[in-house]
Amino acid sequence: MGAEGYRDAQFERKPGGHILVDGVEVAQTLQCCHCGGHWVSRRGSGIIRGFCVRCMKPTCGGIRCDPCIPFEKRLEMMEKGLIKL
Amino acid sequence: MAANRAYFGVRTGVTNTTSAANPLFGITGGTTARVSIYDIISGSDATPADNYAEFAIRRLSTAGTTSATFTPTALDPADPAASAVFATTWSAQPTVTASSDIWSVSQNQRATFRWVAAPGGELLIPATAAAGLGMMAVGSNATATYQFSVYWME
Repeated sequence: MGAEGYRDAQFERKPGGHILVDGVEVAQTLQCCHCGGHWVSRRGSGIIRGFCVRCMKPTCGGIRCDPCIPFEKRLEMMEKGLIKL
Repeated sequence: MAANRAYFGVRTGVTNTTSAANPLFGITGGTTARVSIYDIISGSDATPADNYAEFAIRRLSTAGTTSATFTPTALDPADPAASAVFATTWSAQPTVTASSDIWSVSQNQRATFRWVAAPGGELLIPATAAAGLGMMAVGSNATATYQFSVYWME
């Protein structure tokens, strides 16, 4: 997939990252505030994401990211061995 | 802990054979500092052809037994050696956490792909022994060799 593969990418006002193909920015990524994962929002994809009203940021939509555990807190829990990677 | 030291690592000529267990390369942090990846560049170093390849970054819970590494280059020559290990091959594979994709892309073999994190959007590795991130080949219509350049802070 080259740049044309991102034609359906949605413009993000507050991106978590930028995708460049052959030096040209073609899309932005959003970042899940609970797991730190990135994804490209595509118009019409049908993929349901989430939004945390405590963090006021998007989530990836994964079940494990439904409870509000901010990513920073999650990292601290990993470092204390309270949760697995 | 402040993440203010930047490092570079590269994996060249790796074949994108699809696997859920064998990373194309892996970055494992230390216990003294978190590793935050802020720039990833991938492209094929094979003969140009119209093929697609899909890659994903997943978490590693064990480092495995490393048989070859790339020594990370400090962008500031005055900085000390990186605490992170940039592993390229293993004699015993690291443990890849299932369903832990935190980044994925599809690209054409002819195109050079680059992802740059916005400030605060970096891919983080906790300061936990053996914790890491691995680049996985998750799909393609043909195999070819690829090169990955990664920049991170710690």
